[in-house]
Amino acid sequence: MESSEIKLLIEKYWKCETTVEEEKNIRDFFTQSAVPAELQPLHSYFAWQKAQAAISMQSDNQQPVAAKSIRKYFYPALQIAASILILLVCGIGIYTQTTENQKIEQSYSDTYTNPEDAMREAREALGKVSLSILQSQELVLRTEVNSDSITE
Amino acid sequence: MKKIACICFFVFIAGALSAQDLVSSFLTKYNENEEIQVTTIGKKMLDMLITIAQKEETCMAKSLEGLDNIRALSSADTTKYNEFYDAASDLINKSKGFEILMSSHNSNSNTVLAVKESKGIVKELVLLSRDEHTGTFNLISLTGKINLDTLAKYANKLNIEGLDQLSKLNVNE
Repeated sequence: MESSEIKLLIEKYWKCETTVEEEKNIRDFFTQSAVPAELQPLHSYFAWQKAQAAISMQSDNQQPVAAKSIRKYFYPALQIAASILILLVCGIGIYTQTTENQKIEQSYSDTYTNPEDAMREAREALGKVSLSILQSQELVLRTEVNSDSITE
Repeated sequence: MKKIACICFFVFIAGALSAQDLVSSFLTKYNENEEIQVTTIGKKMLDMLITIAQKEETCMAKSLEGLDNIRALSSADTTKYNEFYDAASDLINKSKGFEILMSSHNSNSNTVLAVKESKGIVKELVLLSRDEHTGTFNLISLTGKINLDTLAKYANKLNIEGLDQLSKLNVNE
């Protein structure tokens, strides 16, 4: 870029009329080694700006990289640990429940080996249950009859 | 997607394991209690009983058909029968799907008849009772495919037989 062009750009810069691209061109110009003597006083200002921009960009980029690297190393480990924990908890739960059920089933599976005793018990249980069912059906019928007589 | 599949799997397993019948739930709490007497008639024995009953007691055979097991719990511990009754009653009220068919409360006794239906079929029937006079607790549970009409017919038959026996006694007298 020629010095006449850069002078125009600088004028625009002080009037705050430059675009981002133009400001970048100014900074690039001043970071070159060969800066005309008349523009030398501005060299340190724009060079400093360029240096600051580089620092801030570097610091902005560094954090996500660090966070990314932490995630990269710890996430798979955390995922595995969480999966193992879930499996362990579920496994213990299932084991406890099944052993409890087995204990109950084993303790109380088929009391009788003799069909006659079992028949006696079944007859008694069915008798009690069926009589209760009959009682409940009679109650329903009685209630229906009562409600019919009230409506009449 | 994988996470959802895993969650569904564990929920299914947990659900399948927690699907106990009422007596099993009751025994989970009172498993170690020696005061409770448990009588169980399993599927194989029931099949055997059906074969025997088909010859003479067809009504009973029909009542036993479809049942998976019959369980009867009883306790004659006069100090704890109320506790057992309340615990079982609580289980009936808290268990999903139980519907009380009949409940009778006298000064001396309490009886609750409850059923659990699934897709229009009675899968579990529970008769819970306590007798204040004798201090006894009884819990009878039938599981499987239960036909209430067949059971009611069986009860009718029992009533008729009872009346027949009574009339025979009257004739003899």
